[in-house]
Amino acid sequence: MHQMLHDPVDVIVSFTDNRVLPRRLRWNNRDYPIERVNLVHSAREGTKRIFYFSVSDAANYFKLRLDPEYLEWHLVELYTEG
Amino acid sequence: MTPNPFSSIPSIILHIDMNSYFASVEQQANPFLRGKPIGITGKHQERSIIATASIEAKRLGVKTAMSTWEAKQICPSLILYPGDPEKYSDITRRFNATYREFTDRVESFSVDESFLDLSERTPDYFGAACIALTIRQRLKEELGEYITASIGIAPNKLMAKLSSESVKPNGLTVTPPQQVLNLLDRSALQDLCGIGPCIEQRLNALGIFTFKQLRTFSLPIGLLLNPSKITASGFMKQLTGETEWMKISCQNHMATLTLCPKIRTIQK
Ligand SMILES: [Mg+2]
Repeated sequence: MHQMLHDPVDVIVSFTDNRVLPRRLRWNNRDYPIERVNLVHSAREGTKRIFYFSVSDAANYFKLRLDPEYLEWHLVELYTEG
Repeated sequence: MTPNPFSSIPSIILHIDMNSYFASVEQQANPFLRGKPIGITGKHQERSIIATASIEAKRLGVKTAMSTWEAKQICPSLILYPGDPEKYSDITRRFNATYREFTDRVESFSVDESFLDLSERTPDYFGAACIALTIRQRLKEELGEYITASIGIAPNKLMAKLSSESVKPNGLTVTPPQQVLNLLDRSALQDLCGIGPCIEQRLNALGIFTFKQLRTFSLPIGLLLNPSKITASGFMKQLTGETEWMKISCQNHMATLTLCPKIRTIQK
């Protein structure tokens, strides 16, 4: 199942080697430990730069959107196998 | 024996072509798509075409630019996945930045293809192959292991592109000057960038079906002007596109096709 979303989420991150890596995601009152950060990319939105983190756990793919100006995280895509 | 027009070309050009680009980027981002036939589509999937088929989908017969309906008929297990152009252009910017770690003579040819001029970075093809392997390693570190590329190394852009296309995915094909004619003789006319069905038809009408014939054939301008109703320069424009793929030398009213393109960014 593939869903496009725009849900505000809480994300716990680590700062390693000048990089921000999402570690844990809280969405819909559930905690999801992030097992893998598969791809990070950025995109321009007007004058600002938005960061996207494509991450996964054992059963789900999540695309997380970070607005570095407001430090806001959103879950924008969810893909669950089956 | 025909003289080898490539033997005097001192340039070493690398062509790097990402394999099933948009699909591989999605498979890198989303591991649940890996190893599966997927087709990257536009926003409205039912009315869209396949912009890129994954390597797995290609093996099952799905082709680029096929309608999603037709692709699903051929491959019912095909997963249609909406494309994300912003993501692809960011990855393109990043792999070109990676290439610039190796030379500033980088020409981005399309969203997933670039040419690198290594002539001043290495004296020989062995050195160029080593650089190619290092670039491959850097791409893996920068983008992930699922985004792979085919690499061709040859004395000019056209031959480098033909080389990279000869082994997919993840190929590394080195074609030094003395091997170029072999490569051409193994290729079909349409394998060459710039020769599409129309030009192939015109060449066929002139009795040219292979590169061997094309090499030894002098194209009288009149023949080009007349039955095909196109001008010689129009013909060459189609052959060359915007870049100077090939140079035509006109002597005694005969236009002879010589395969000696230059890389645009380094023209003096
Ligand atoms: Mg490609």
